[in-house]
Amino acid sequence: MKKRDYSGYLYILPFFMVMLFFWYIPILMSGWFSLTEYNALSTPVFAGFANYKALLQDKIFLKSIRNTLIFVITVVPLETLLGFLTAVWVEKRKITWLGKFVRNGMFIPSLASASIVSIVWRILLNNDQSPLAYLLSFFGINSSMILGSKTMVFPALIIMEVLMGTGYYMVLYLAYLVDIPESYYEAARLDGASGFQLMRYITAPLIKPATIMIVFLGVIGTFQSFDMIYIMTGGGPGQGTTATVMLSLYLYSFKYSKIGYGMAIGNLLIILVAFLTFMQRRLLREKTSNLY
Amino acid sequence: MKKIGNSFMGILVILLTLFMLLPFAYMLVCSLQETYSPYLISFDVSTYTLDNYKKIFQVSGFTAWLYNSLFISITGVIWTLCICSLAAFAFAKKRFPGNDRLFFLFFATLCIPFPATVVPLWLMTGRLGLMDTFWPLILPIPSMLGVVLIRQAVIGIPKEMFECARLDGCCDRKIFTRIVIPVIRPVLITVAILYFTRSWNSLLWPLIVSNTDATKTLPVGLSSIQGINDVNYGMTMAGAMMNFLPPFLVYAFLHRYFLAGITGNGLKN
Repeated sequence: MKKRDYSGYLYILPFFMVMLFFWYIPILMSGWFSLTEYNALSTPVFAGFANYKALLQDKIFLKSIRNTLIFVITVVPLETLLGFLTAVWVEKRKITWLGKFVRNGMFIPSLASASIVSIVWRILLNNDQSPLAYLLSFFGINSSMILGSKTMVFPALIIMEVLMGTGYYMVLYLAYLVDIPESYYEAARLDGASGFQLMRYITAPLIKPATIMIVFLGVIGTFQSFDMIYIMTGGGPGQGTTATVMLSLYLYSFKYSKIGYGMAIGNLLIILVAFLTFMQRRLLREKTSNLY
Repeated sequence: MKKIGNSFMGILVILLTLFMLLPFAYMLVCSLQETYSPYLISFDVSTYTLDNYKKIFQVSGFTAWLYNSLFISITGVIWTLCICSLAAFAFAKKRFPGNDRLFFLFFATLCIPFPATVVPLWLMTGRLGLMDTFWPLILPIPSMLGVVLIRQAVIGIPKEMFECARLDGCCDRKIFTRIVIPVIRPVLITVAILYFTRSWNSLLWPLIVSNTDATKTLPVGLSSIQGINDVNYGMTMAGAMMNFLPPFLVYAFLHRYFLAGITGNGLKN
């Protein structure tokens, strides 16, 4: 293992081909399209940075950047925290039927298609007779108004996203939690540590690698989440109240056939995600982390 | 005080789980009855039938879509496991110039949202004459996440195991197939579940490249019949259940291994 081993390239070659053909070449092409006027039928016409200039003056697009950032900044910490707390809860009860029920029940939304689950949520919200409407009426909320209300729609979408995504992170945390030796807890308990202290000073630091990975996956996944908002609101109510960058990317590329404009949105999104990932890497990185 | 805190947490966790399962309960209940409004469903168990499931199997093309989806997802998963584990092994245990840099370069692709690549991919597929074939549906399935997960597990294998194998005269190929693959099997199963679910549920890309029953996947097929007979919501929900079932079964059979060993310290003494 000391000397250089060029056979490594051979092992990477098939995966490299996939990366090249399905990621690098398309992204270079989209970089080119973003500098053109193109509607999928005619030939692209070079237009310089016109698309980018138009984007920076597009009020709805600027709003969608703000929405996306708010969405990511609220959803990711919520999912991470809830995932951690439920994982700790489940880990203590992992052999009981209740623990198994919560573990598997929470993971089920991750197995289904997000668009189908969103369609059902929309039906449940819009129905005055559903159990959900009944429950919300106790808090004085009319559930069929939520998706049409400018103030309530955004928190509702955040809750939906958390309900769909948390299970995945809970199960990820659980995989790391079972590796913590029981003796650590016993020693701390002998020293008189409380349940909260165990969680704060033993569990949390020991599963920092899991947290780094979950926040990373969460940021990337939430930036790219699309189906739920598309189906629930389609960016409405009104002018782009819940529009996100992914939604604009989809609408311009596939609905309005302004592909050059759509690709410019895509490239700005990539730059944004890459920048945030880089920042996060600096903030959260520790020497033992081997994620990168 | 501690007891109260504990049971409060318990109630919260259980409520959260029930909320997450609510849409699935609705799907199930609705799929067992004939209803022409999504808002009028009956909770009278005696009226429940499996008629909607029988009818959905009679929809022309349904079995073909099911078969296509199974074929695409299963071959896609095998393809992913093969190339990702090879690359992960090299990134974890082989020293070649640019190892770290290549890994980082690949890693950056995780930041790319898929729709940003769809139009160029669609143009490439058309240029190569591969529209309506299985190639564009299967080949792009692998992604960097698989390599990241598998690499972490390979790093966790103790150096001594490789040294022993080398002393016994094992070549790299044998080390890979006889030691690495068996040891990281739980991680491979995890990756298989993740990619099966992902490719099974993908909609945007199959919607663009498959137009005939020869290649249509189940989600694409189901969305195409929704316009024709969206009168019976029971049937739509039966379709949704049928779409949910395969990933659920894969998870149900393999969940014991799911995420076991991804921490990279699977081999403890």
